[in-house]
Amino acid sequence: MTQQHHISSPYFEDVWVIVPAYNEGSKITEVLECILECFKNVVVVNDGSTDDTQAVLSQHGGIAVVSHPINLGQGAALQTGISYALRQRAKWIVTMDADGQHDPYDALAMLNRASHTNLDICFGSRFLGTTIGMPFSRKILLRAALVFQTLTTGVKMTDVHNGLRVISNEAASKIRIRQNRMAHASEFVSLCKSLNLRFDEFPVTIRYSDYSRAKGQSSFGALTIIADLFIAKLRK
Amino acid sequence: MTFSFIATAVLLFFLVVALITRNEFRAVSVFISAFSIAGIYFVWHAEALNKISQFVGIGRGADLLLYMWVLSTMGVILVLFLKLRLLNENLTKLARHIALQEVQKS
Repeated sequence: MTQQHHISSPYFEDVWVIVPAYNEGSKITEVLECILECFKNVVVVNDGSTDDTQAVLSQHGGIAVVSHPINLGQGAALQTGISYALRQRAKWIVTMDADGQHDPYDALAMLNRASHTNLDICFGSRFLGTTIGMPFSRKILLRAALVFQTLTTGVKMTDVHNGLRVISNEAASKIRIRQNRMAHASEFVSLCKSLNLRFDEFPVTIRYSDYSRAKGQSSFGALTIIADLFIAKLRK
Repeated sequence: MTFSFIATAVLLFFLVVALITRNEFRAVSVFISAFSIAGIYFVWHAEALNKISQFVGIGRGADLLLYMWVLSTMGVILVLFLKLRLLNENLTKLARHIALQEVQKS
């Protein structure tokens, strides 16, 4: 039985927000300002950025910065962030993307939901919530990924590839993300099942801008995700 | 006859390289050693290969050799690919360790 953790103060001393970032120099300041309105403890994992992301982060106050010496992928960055947050004795971990798609106030609502309903993981779902400016091709791609996910894991969800998640420290301690690149999202779901974690989805709003659309997954990327997951199953 | 000597020399070279590197790449070394030894034998006893191929239902020895080469190569590629994935995992762990040692706080 998972021990219930309640958010202990308005500024969430025991909550850490993880923001994996790769070449987000032009956007990261704006994203961090929004997150810091709601959360006190933020760690940005700079995943080997080649633009001015590191310089921008060095000048930004109120955050921790963990920098990969080389680009490893979002999955690797998330695991690094989780490892850091656990070292800081986080009781709750929030993962958010660095492209401004996620609303920190949605994360607050997810935290409340997770803590009061004894969840190990709360996944944000754009399909239970709202999407603003989502390209039709992206919708098709995400739906296809859902079908693959259901077929391979037997877990039914509405939005697997959503970077907004709330994770309890017990779940985070058990999770080991091995998929470095975008297949980590599917791996998260597989781990929920294999580790018998209590999880649920929560409606969130995803805002697509020209910037985030340009940085999103391509159709070829979806094939790479499928190949990554297939190879991972071979190695089990 | 000339080609037999050339082929034997090349296969002997492969065999020596495979034996030298056997501790680093065991699966690949075993494959190359076996193929080289078999290749040297069949270069000088081509009829033996034809008999084997007919026994397994393939017309010519050369065809058998080609099919075995393709299948074996695919197997080696798969093994190497899986080793690459493992190497990538270890690299990730190393990079993460370095990153967590050098955290910047502001």
